Amino acid sequence: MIIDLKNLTIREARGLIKNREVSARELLSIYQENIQKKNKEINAFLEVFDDAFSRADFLDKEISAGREVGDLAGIPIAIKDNILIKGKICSAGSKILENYRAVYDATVIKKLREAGAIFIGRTNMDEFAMGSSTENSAFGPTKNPYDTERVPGGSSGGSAAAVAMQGAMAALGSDTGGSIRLPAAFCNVVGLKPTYGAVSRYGLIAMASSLDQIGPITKDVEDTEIVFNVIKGKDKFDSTSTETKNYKSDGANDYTLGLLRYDREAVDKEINEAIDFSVSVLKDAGYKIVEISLDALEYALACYYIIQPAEVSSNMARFDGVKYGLSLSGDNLLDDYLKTRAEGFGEEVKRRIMLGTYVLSSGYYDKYYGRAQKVRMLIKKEFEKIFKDVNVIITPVSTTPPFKLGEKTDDPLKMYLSDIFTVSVNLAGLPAISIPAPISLRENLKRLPVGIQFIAPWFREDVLFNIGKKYEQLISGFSA
Amino acid sequence: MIDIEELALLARIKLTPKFKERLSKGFKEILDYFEKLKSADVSDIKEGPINITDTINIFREDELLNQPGDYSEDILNQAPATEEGYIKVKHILN
Repeated sequence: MIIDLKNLTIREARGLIKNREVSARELLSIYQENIQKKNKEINAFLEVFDDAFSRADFLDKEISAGREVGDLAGIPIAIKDNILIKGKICSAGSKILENYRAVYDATVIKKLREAGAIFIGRTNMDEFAMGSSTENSAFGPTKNPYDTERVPGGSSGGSAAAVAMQGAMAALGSDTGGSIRLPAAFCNVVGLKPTYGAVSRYGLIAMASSLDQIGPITKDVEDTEIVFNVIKGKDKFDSTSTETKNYKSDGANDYTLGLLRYDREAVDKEINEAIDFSVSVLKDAGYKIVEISLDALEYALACYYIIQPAEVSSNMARFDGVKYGLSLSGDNLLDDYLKTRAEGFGEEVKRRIMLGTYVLSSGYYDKYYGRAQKVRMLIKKEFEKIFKDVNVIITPVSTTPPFKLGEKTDDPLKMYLSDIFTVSVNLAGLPAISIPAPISLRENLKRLPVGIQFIAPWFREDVLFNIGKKYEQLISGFSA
Repeated sequence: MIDIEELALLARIKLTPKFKERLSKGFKEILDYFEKLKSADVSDIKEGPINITDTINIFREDELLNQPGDYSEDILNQAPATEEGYIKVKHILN
């Protein structure tokens, strides 16, 4: 049987596997061959798991024996290198954890395992998820499969590139300020940042705990919905997680869509065109479009880059060379810390720890952190107001298409500005999805991917899946 | 003026001279950017902890979620230095 991998979705693949038209081993071997061919150049995977085949054989036996298997039986899934899989190295893209082996499964891993998924490998990322391009990995940058001179976005760049290069059917990423949505947009795949609390973070190496969420990266919206429904839910090991109401996609066509008013001069022409086009097809399909403004957008990035490093500085304190990871010996205990952290952390991680230490330090707390927390509530309130009038908000994901490797590495603030359209979603705890706009739209022959962001009210991922699937249908005729 | 050396010590990071220079430059630019927040009108926002998804008082029974010793061996195996089932640390007080 010939498999068209590019268009094969989870829904189709699990049907083929359950009906024994394709074995889990066959499917896995196709993906592994792709990784062997492409990973040397793309560097999406830090490790391909050697026990994946024995897992596939086990699942094939279960299916042959007629036993009940889960919703993801035989589906090869790539896992971001900051999510713990028992017995596997989990390095968070950092030298300080280069040889660290997880001693337990993250809750999302447990759930995927129970659903029959096969973990194909762990994917590259910006060190401790701090970055927007995957260039901050201690193990070399990941390259964009659509143009290897360009970045895949970050920090879940390895996960997005893995799906885009047909190295996995789906991947998990984590999103603190856009780290799922930006790479999804740059790699022409779908990425969901769930509502804060919708998915347990137990076993996710924490970056900024009031912002972090785990979410899926897949080829289409339906696949994202399938993976989300497996990983979501309350978990006794993460007290911020909540049981979400089981909203079913209502199939409603009468949503009011709020198009975010933004400074079009500050955004690349290709992005503006993709937004205009998307809005026009949705309008033609009968959706009501209204313009909305988010006054707090102006403050969102500054607010985010105070709160996030503050939490980073506290979360990174655990890496001290005493309990696990890299450990360098100095003259005394303090010297051990200084040496271990100097050697183990990369520059961006150090920068953020220092920034966070500064904004939390005595005398500056009110000016920075205290004020940022208030602005954060202001942003949340503004979203509450907007969602009284609209069902979904539409915005760009980024101001530019994928940029070139090295283009922003010397200018941290410029790199931070890549996150301008995504951070407010994390600050407010909202769910948002990035969906590729049709590639054939782009006038230059480079055909760089561009993503559109849909934002829904708290715990209304179902609304995103509904509008997302409609949007995909509407633009399917325009896709290359 | 920020004392980068002092801050690095608080953050438990030893700086190389080269990185110190790069860091100082970027730092100022980033802190200047934070000044934007000054113009935000937060007069209606109350002091106090932020609450994003309106969850309150998440309690659970005060019982063990894991059995004692479940992970001890695996955890100790990752520690740089151990002795008799403990993680060994240099002494703090002289």
